[in-house]
Amino acid sequence: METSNNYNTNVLDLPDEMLLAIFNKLNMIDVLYSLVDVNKRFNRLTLDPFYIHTRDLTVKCSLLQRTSPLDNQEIDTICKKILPRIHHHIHKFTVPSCSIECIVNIDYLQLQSLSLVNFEQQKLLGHLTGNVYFCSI
Amino acid sequence: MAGHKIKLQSSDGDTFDVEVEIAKQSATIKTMLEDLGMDEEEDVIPLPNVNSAILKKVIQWATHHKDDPPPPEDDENREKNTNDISSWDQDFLKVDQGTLFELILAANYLDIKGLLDVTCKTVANMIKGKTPEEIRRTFNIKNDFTPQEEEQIKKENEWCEEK
Repeated sequence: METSNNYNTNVLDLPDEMLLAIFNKLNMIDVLYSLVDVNKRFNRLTLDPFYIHTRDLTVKCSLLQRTSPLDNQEIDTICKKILPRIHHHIHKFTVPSCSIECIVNIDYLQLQSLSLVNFEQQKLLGHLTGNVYFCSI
Repeated sequence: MAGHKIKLQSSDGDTFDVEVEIAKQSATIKTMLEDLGMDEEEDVIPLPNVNSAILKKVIQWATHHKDDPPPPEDDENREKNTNDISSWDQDFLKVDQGTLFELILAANYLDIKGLLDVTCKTVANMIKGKTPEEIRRTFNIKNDFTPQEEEQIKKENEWCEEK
């Protein structure tokens, strides 16, 4: 069903506005995991901060919505592959304790809000005091 | 004016008699009727961007949804939920990809928010959980990165893994 195409209309025939309407139906995690590095156009739409800002979609990155063990691969991919490329555009970040290890060593220049969820006090203190970037927030 | 009909003309010249209240789910048509005074029965509204097969599908969708309440305003903070597609809409959208994208273009041109919403959600569901390579296969997208760009991406990833 997905391969036949009576109209020969491809997803790339949709204007940017329509692609963004589709992307906006997805959580940030789904967008970053599935759409980054598909092709140049998708990268422009999903990673370019100017484009995101003009649509009033300040980059908000939440790892909280998807924390079941099944999603570990997605979170791992995003932490290793995507965050290093968008870290300087992140304004608001929500992080559950299970993801802290892979995100603490990145410098978030634009970060204005950080939400830490389900953290044990001792563990959190260790991360915050031992990390040069978080100390500067 | 219940039952009052207008004629919609597709890009390939077919005309469809449609109840005004059904056609008005299209904000584009609604504006034409209200602002331009095109409310005479003999008037034909040309829709040069929609072919007859797609227009037929759009009318079928609008007829089924004619008694729906107006869709809520967009809210970026609203929880993204793509699992709320009704079973009728799911069956209606069991079409090939080309038809689905044509429906998105038609819904956008005709400004039918409900149809645009449900078609975009359907595509979003096709994206969910897939890797970029699976996305390329599913949607027949060519990897257009040059070897140099691929190398650059790899380097950026290494930079992170070393951290």
